[in-house]
Amino acid sequence: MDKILDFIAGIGRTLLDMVRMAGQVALFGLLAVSHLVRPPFYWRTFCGSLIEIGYFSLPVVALTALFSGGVIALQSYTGFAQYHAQSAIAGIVILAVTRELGPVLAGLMVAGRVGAAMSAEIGTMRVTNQIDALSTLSTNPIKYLVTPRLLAGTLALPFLVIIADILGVMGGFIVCVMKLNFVPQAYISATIASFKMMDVTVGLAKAAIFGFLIALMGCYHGYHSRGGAEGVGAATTAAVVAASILLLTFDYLLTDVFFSQ
Amino acid sequence: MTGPTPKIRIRGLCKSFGPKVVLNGVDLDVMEGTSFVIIGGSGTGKSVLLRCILGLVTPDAGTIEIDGVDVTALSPRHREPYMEKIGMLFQNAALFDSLTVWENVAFGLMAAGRQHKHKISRADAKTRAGELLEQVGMDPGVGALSPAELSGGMQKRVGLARAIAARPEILFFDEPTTGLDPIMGAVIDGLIVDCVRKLGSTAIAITHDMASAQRIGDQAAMLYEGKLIWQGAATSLLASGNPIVDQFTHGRREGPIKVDVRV
Repeated sequence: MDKILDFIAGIGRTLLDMVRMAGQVALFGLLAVSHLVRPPFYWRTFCGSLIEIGYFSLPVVALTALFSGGVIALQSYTGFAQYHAQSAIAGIVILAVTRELGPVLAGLMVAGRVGAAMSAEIGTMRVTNQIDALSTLSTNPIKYLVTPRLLAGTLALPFLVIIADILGVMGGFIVCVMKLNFVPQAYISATIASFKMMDVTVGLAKAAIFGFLIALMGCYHGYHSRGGAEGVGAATTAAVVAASILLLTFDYLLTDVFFSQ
Repeated sequence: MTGPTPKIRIRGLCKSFGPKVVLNGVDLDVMEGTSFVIIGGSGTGKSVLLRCILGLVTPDAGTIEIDGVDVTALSPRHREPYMEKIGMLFQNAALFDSLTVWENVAFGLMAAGRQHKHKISRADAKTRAGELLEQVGMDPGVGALSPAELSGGMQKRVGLARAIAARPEILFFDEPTTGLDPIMGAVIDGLIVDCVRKLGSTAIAITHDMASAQRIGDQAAMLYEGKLIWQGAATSLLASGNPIVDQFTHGRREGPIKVDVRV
């Protein structure tokens, strides 16, 4: 009986910890966002983060999208060929890429690359007293370190998703035309016919939310890291895991809101 | 008749972290223009005391007055002008890795958050950073380097230049000679004394380096078990007459201070 109670108490404690942390993250995010409308704004930090997220993530996002589009085309072909429905492949590729694969894969790649880097950088600043030094130099650390990164994440990810959408569709096109002997003009016509502005718009809205969440997790875990190199490592892992889980959770919620009917 | 108001007055300062009591009613007066050294063993709360004054740690109880105003009772916004009076040299220098040396030195001058002093342009800040680097005995050309390219002693000098850049009325030094060889330690101490004298600042240094304490300080105090147990002239540190201070300053194993060596 005691073991069962201990088990239930353990679950309760874990849930309470999760609720407490969710509250802390929300307050941290709100505080950082509130600095957007309270000058000064640190443009140099913002531009640096924008380049780091938007430009330096391009190769990894581009390659991921290109191959994912190709894989969708191949997998669809193996299934659809049995029913002589190959003409639907172009539509499947563009739908999958613009609605899901573009934003989610770009988000996961950026979470792994940029979320980890943000957390490690800010975490190192925390454990080496650089954040305290900012405070002693008349600079609000959240305004200087977090707010510009949140804005950069929110703006950069939609840009990456546009690139991912284009390259994902191109990946499907290359596989279908070069490997499966589709007629290029027919494939392009089918792609254009299946293109929906709503899919792209919702994908970009998702990307903006994912970008915000990735930057928030990176900054939050880095800002609250403790205990030297081990603490920074733990914060980095937590940032990537939390960003990935949140990203997939919000992906489901947003898909439910926009596409369930 | 009351005497002059101390630059920093601390009364009944308490701070605990969980069950561990770090500061247990610290009282301290630091008069304007004085260099005050606080000594004490590792983990006795010296850094916590400085962090409380800087507002980086919120005390559990007690008051901290700067120029007669209790800053613990102020909101962060109203506290800011008092914090702008303080410059700090951190133990590890705490230079910003992502910035060059000159940007580190001039960071406070370019800080957009400065309310009560004029922010200066990047070009002027770079020139001023060069002057400050010269003041701490470094070639202004070092300004283009990254902090990671500097030795520990050079990083401390850059940290000192950054701390004095805004000409603060109060300077804090957190173990300024830790990790340096004795000669470099003496060089840093000399620079600290020069800078404090030129600026006419009030200084508080925390250290467990006795030679450094005597070089930097006019006054000294020892923090032990959360309280300042002795206060006097820095020159009398080695002959304080207090058995706890004497054991600490002479590094004796036997005495009233019991060191727990269990792990």
